[in-house]
Amino acid sequence: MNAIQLTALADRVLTRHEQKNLPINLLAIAGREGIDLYPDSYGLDFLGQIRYSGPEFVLLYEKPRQGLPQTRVNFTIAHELGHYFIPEHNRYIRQASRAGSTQPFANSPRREGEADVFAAALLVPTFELDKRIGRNKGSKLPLNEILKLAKNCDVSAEACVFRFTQYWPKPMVAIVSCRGEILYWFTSNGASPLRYALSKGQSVPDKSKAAHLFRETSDRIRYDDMDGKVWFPGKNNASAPSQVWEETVKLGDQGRVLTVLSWS
Amino acid sequence: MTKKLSQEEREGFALEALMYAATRSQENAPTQLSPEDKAFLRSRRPAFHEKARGLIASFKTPATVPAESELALYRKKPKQGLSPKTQVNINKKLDEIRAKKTKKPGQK
Repeated sequence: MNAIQLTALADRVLTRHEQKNLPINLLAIAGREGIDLYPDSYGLDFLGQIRYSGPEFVLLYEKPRQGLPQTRVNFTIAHELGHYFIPEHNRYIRQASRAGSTQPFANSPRREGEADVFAAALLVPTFELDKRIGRNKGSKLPLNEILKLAKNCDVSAEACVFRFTQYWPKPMVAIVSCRGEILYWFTSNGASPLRYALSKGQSVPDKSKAAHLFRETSDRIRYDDMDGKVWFPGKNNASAPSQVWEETVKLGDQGRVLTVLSWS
Repeated sequence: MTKKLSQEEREGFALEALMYAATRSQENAPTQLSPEDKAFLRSRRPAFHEKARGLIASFKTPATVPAESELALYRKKPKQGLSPKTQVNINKKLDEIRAKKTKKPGQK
């Protein structure tokens, strides 16, 4: 399924379960679908798994603990619900469980990616994004508003920004770095020519606001106009904008920094 | 040779394509725009934006699932498999669940 279909599916699930307020009540959705939930401490390398244990589905997930905040647990539950609601995944789980497979999706990055897109759309619903964009007169939400939305939806800042880049059609790139090195990034549809413009492990440009933020103690958002070539140098980035609006914030105390670049 | 569309026709087509995407009736509508149409849209952005404000606002998502690299954050850690200890804990739980389900009424 593509992202449009996955988002539409998540929208339909929310309507079907009358989820109109934030945060989305995942346990209620699971309950109404007859999915039995088993939170426990399974192991440090485990997040969650959904299985078919006829006639019901069971969802095993790691309880919140140090290093595993509630926001991450919520994303795991929503992700596993994705495997339940996406018809192809649902069929696959039934077959795999009957065949005694221990990890039905371990070798399917595509299915995992689909469940992630579904999870983000379930936790940060389209109706809420429509409402907030409407309030902002059709303009992109500034980073502080995206962080507020993340809090209201009980998801991490990264997950919320990922969802926003999926929703927002105009150019926008969100970058997560750690101690000055790029970990991963998301591009909106409007910035798709720059999808491969960055690389994992690449240093954050020295002239950017993000470069030195991880050393600071403040979690205040920094923002500034920036020459587009600072972030996207080189001949290969002909589609790079001349000017970008950079918003950057420090996430936690492990040296992670979230940067949002947008332009028109 | 295909007839080149006029500016108005192209704008109409682009709006129509966005409309398709917005209503989700045609899954790959945005990617069906030719490079020429895309360049046209870029050049006409201010005017286009005015005309399509409502449509763009309802055009929610790109047509493809993001590249795997972009989703590294959400990827489950144990790509090569869970540790034996974790797998034992999961199996134990699944056995408990199965036992609970197969228990006859009144059986302890």
